[in-house]
Amino acid sequence: MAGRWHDPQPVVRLIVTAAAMVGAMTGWAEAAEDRRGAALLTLASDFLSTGEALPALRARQASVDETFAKAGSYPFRIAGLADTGSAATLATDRASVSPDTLTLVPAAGIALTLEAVARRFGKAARAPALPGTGHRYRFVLDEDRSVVVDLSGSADSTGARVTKLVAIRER
Amino acid sequence: MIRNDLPLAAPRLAPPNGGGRTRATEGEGDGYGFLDTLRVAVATVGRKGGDIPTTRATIRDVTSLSDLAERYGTTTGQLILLNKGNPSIFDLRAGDTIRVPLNRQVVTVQEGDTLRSLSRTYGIPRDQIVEANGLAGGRLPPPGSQIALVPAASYGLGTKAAASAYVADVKALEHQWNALDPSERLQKLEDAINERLAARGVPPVNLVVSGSGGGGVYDFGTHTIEVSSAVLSKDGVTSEELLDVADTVYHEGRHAEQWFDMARIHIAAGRPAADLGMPRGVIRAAREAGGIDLDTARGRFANAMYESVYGAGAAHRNATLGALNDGTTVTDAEYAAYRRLPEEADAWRVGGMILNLWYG
Repeated sequence: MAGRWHDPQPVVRLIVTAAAMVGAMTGWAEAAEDRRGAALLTLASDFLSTGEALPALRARQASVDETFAKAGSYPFRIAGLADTGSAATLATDRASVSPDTLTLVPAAGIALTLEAVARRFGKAARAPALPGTGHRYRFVLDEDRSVVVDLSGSADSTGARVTKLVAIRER
Repeated sequence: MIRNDLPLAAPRLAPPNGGGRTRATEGEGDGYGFLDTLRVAVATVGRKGGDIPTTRATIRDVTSLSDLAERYGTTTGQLILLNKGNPSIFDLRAGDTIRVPLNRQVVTVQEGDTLRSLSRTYGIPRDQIVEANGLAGGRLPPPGSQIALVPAASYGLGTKAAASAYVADVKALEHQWNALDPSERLQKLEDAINERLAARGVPPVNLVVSGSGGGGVYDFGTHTIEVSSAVLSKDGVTSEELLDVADTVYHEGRHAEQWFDMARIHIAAGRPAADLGMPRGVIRAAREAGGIDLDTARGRFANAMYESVYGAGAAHRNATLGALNDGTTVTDAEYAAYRRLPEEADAWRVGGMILNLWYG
């Protein structure tokens, strides 16, 4: 039996090569996820800075539904980045006290974590949950700007990812 | 996990064994079939039985008392209590008229519940719970039984006047529907809820749509109510579809009213407004409105919700809502726990008024 494997080097080389390829692919996938997560955070960050949502969305080839434009609601999706459910809500009524918001629902496969959001926006505090969003955290940037994220599980649990991110900008 | 045909963001979560509708969740099936089979005409009468606001229902088909209780979001015990002067209550026939509660809210009695604990949790006087449910000997029924929790006094969106006026506005919208574009329909709904909120000093909420097709959530962080775009975008809306949206908006509008009261309580106690996570305009309005006297029945009721969200009940509340969203199947117990949260019990009770008034 041993004779059949008297020269293991080619097999070892093959295994090492395959492992390297899998590792590279995994790393590539993770890097792509990171890039997409980072892109979402950049969208949120830019909105918080400028108060403009639509130009940035269009620059990313977002498909924007303008059915409710007169009411200030713009549902949108960006293929591979933000799922249906994402929306920009902008002021149309001066009497309204609701802030402008940009809501981002990460596309499937984007494992955006609370830690990644925290690296961009600072320290989060647990916020009261809503039905449908059991784990909610809030980042306060200043008195006019904040970010709320909903997580798929407890922040302490492995694999908890952001299911929704809302950038909030007071008028 | 939560049924995948339900909007994950919907706060008025359907029961785990429900038919996917968020209304009439005490019932079964499609949530509207009862309107065909029961065929009960409802007429509001502005009467009270005990301290329970009621409306009048005319029986068109023979049905059981328990079916009626289920359809009106109450208990057989409360139906009997509200109709104690009506000898036909145990032998209902087509054409009979009975009194049903205007509110729709029952919660399931759990192991360890006492009248005292329920009174404290919900801010409802013990005597009120006894009277509203006709509890013999002043004792709670056994665990698993249902009881109705109704505050001693109605206020805001919980009043019959507010709910009736709102229903009238939405019915007017029904007639104009096809002449309006989706944005205008949304605006009309927004106006309808905001007129009732304004009467209590609550700043106007913003109704927004998401692209997910789901909807029905009040987000206190933005003071917005998210509604489904599907019905609003559709011409030729049915009465049932509009009722569903109207009920949703009213339920969520009640949450807006609750959070405004929570802000008033929080700020009056000298706690940092920033802890609330609410928009500046809401905080300002709450500050101007001043505190709520916590020594009144009304104050105790509002404070029970504040304690649930921002006080001693916060950890329990987060755990309860976390269990609904942990990726596993929602159990009956988890759903019942959600419905027992004070602010949800109240919103279901008040939002349910729209259903009980709609066909009047």
